[in-house]
Amino acid sequence: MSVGSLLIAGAVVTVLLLLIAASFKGKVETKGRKIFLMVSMVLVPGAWLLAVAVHDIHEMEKVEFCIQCHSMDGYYESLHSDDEDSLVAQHYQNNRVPQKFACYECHADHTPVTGFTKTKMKGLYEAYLEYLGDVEMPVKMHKPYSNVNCLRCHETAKNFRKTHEDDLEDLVADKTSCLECHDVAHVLPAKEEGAE
Amino acid sequence: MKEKIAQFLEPEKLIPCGIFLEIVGVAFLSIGLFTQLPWVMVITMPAGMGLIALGVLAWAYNFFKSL
Repeated sequence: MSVGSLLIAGAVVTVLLLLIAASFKGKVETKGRKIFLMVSMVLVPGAWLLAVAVHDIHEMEKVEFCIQCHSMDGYYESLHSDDEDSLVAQHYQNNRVPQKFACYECHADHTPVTGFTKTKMKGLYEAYLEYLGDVEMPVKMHKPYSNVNCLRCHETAKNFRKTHEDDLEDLVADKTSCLECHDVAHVLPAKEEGAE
Repeated sequence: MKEKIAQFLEPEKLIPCGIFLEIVGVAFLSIGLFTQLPWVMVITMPAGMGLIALGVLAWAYNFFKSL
């Protein structure tokens, strides 16, 4: 049984409990009814809501979720590019990032506490642009890609430190972008070429 | 007007109203859960959470009033 099915079953149980509580018709004077009301109106819906939120947020981090926006079609194709210079294809195809969460791993803000909220707000804005706004193709990033997301994995790697010895300080300080040398991020299909 | 608000805040009306809001909230969240479509979830997640929160508020008001 999948988590989604369990949560749907949880929704049915929650609604059933709420319907039983509704049959009290506001008469909650006995202790038993007060406790039942607390369980059915607060504890069960609260726990279910928390489980749904955690599940949905986890699902939103998957590649399948990101590519539901049509403007991402070319970017999804770029994950499967045969171009050996393509950063995303090399990372994705060689499991250097978890394949299921490839977009999120490289594009989310992983700063503790604030990063999650910033990423969700950015996602909301992007959903707004996709459905109600105007997405200019090829898609441009809101701000230059930060080295932090690359260094999160690479900074402590021995091989990386050895080959980037001269630039390491500038890379960490974000003075030099990783993309200055590794400039082929996404290899897009010909119609969208030129995108970052 | 004040009388109407006072009547609405009585448990006989407030609790069923809170329960109704929570049921609608659960339905909203279930739709998002079922479809997993970004444009659906953008609407159903905040709406569902807000409705459930309102239901809990209704319960809390009634609970603390009865203490």
